[in-house]
This record gives sequence, structure tokens and C-alpha cells, in this order.
Amino acid sequence: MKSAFRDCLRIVYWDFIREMKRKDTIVAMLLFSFVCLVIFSLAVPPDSATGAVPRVRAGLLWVLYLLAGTIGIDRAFRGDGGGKVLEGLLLAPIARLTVFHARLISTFCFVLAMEMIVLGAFCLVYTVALAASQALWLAALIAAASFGHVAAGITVSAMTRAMPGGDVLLRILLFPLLIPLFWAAVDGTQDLFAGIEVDRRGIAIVIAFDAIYLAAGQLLFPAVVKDYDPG
Amino acid sequence: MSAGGADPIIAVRDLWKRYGEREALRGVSFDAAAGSCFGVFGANGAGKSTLLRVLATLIEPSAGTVRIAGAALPAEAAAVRARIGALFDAPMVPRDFTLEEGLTYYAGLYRRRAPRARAEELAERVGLGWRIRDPLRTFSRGMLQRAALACALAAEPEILIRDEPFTALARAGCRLVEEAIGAQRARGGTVLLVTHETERGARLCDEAIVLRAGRVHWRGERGAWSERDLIGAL
Repeated sequence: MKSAFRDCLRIVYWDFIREMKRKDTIVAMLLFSFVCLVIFSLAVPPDSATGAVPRVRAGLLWVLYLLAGTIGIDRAFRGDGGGKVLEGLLLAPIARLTVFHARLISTFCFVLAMEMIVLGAFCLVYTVALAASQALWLAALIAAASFGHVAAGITVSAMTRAMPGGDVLLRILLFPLLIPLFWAAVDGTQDLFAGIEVDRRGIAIVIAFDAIYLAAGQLLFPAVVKDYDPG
Repeated sequence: MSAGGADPIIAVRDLWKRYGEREALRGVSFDAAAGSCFGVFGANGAGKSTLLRVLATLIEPSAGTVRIAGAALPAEAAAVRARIGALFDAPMVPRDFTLEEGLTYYAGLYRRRAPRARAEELAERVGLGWRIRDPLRTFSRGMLQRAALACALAAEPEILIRDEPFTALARAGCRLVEEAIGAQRARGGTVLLVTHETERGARLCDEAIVLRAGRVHWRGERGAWSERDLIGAL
């Protein structure tokens, strides 16, 4: 248990070193998000009747997170030098689950970092003013929903990694799976944008889906890499 | 089948691997003695890489038994992975890493102590000391082979599995690989080698098999074969 924890931390550490060198995951997500934000602000101006509706704003924010976050998730296994790095991890005396957990943690951190930066930009563009307690609730909601997004995403990413057109397949398989999670996240965000106290049941639903996606990932990942094809 | 009557460190019995209808391995059996260098030869598509990937625990056999250092595959794959170091034609580390980082990363995966301190020594051993702080993506194919060799040395495995270790290497690089294989054996380790190089293979390996269409077509027992036999079997 202790060695698995150390192995996990070691992989996460090196994932951060790799990202600091390449910067392609976070930069790609941020660039995409900012371009989308500019387009959204033109299509649904913040001062328009539609743009002022909290549900519309919440929907726009979560569309951004879904699309941009999936770019980062897609790179969890595909950006690995033709699968060689994952192969190296699978050959090492490290449990398959530890590899899954490590990639989950590092990808979650990258996606969450992007989301916090984008949230700041979104609040500026759409002049969203939140009280400190609401901002904390929103951060917690984003973190919880993103965890489920990443847990489901890296599982599907591992499944589609070596397939032809795997990047497209990832989105086709992943997006329908995420509907209930994002539904609850949009509901919660709408309440916070409207200045209403967040519905705790919404957050509970998000956490429940996190647990389901995590459990499914833990069950599926070892099976997915059982007959490993570097692609 | 084990050489010298000693317990084999790798024991493969009636190993089958199927991909749907296609049979990549068809009843392969062999033993490799501890401390030996065992060669696997064969034409392209003969099943060498599949055999290697089964032994490296990357894929599971469809039927048959494989025991490595007493542990059965696939049930005890984790125990097997702790004792083998399988390397293909390039280091399995991110190409954005420098050689030093790559060696530190790789040794860390095998829980070797003070890996950073050893990185310089290992890089010197494979003739890449002068490029230790350069990213691996700037390396030529031959240099990546040498870097892969340094990774293998950093992991210090009991059983070293190498796939085509001489590919893209100049004479000096090949000599380094041969020295590394010698060093692995000198410390009591075992080597399983897949190569097309019959001359080097015959010189380095104690025992060998030739695979053809997923079956063992020829077997060279310890001290009872030469390069000519091997070429004839191929």
C-alpha cells in the first residue's frame, strides 16, 4: 500500500515535470477555452437578455469545460510518444491501478488548473460577481464535476488510445456518459450565478457520479491494458 | 530441457496466443537456465515479438503455462515484473526528458536508490556522457538504442529481455550491448535476446530457438550448435 502510494506520487511528479517541459496540455486547453470564450461573448453578449440568464451562463461555462477538458484528457495516454511511455509503466513493477490513479491525479490537476484560470476570465467577460462563500462552493462544484469528467475520460481514453480515429471515438463515447454529471453541475452553477444558495443534493449527485466513474475506471483499466497494444 | 539440469528461470510449456482466428503462438515450449543467454530467432511474423510480450507480461497467453523465476503468468505478473527488465528498441520514457531525467525516471520506476547519482555513470558507460543534459527527442535512433541500454542497466533486472538490441547501432554501439549482456551474466543475471543478427546471436547465446509460424522449428541446446546450424534453421 505504502509502495503503491510512493509509486503513484513518483509518476505524478514526473507527469508534472513532463508538462512543465512540454506545456502542450494546459496551453492547448487554455487557448481553446479563450477562443471559445471570445466566440461565446460575441454570440451571446453578456449584456444581452439571453446572456444575463444564469442558466445560459452556466451552460456556456460547462460547454467550455467539457470541450477544453477533453483535450487534456485525450493527451493522458495519447501524447505518450506512440504509447511507449505507457508501455514502460506497464512493464515496471507497478500495479496497473497505480498507473491509473497517477494519470487520474495528474490529468485532474492539469484540467482543474485550466478551469480555474478560465473561470476567472469567464467572470470578467460575463461580469459575474460572487460572494466569497459562493465562490468557494463554485470551486468545490467545479473540482467535483471535473474529477468525474477526468475519471470517465481517462478510462475511455485508455480504451480508444490505440484505435484508428481514437480521438474522435473518445468524444463520441465519453460525452453521452457525462450528461448526468454535467446536468447536475450546470444546475448547481446556475444557482450560484443567480445568487441562490447551492442545492446540496446537486453536489451529492456529482459526487455519486464521481464514485461511479472512479469505480468503473478501476475495474476497466486493468482489463483494457491486459493485452497491451502500443498502437 | 533445462541446461545443466539446473532449475530453469524461464519455463514455457505449450504456449498459445490467439488474436481472434489468428494463432500467433502455437504450442511453444522451452526452458532458459538461470545465468544463461537465451536467443529467440525467426523471420518477420514468426511470433518472436508476441512471445516477448507474453514474457514481459504485456499480453496474456491464450493457453499454456509460463513460469518466470517460479512465478506463474498471468496470475503472478506483478511478481514477474519486479524481476524482469524488458526493453525494446528505444527508451520508454518521455522524449522531452533529458537523458539524465530519463534515467532517473526509469530507475525510479524500478525503485532503485539514488538514481540521479548513477545517471552520469550510466550515461558514460553507454558513451552518451556528453549528451546527458540533452532532450531525448534530439537523439538519433542509434543513440536512443544506447539510451535504452542505459535504462536497462539502471533498472538492474534479474532477467533482461531485449528485442533487437543491435538495430541502428554502429560497431562501437554493438560492442557496448555485448558488454552489457556480459555484465548482466557476470552478476548472475539471465538474458533473453531476440535478434536477427545470427553471428552475434550465435556468439552470445548458450541456447536458442528458431520460431516459424508460431512454432518452435529448431532448438539449439547448450554447446551443441553453431551459427551455421542457426542459419540453416532460419
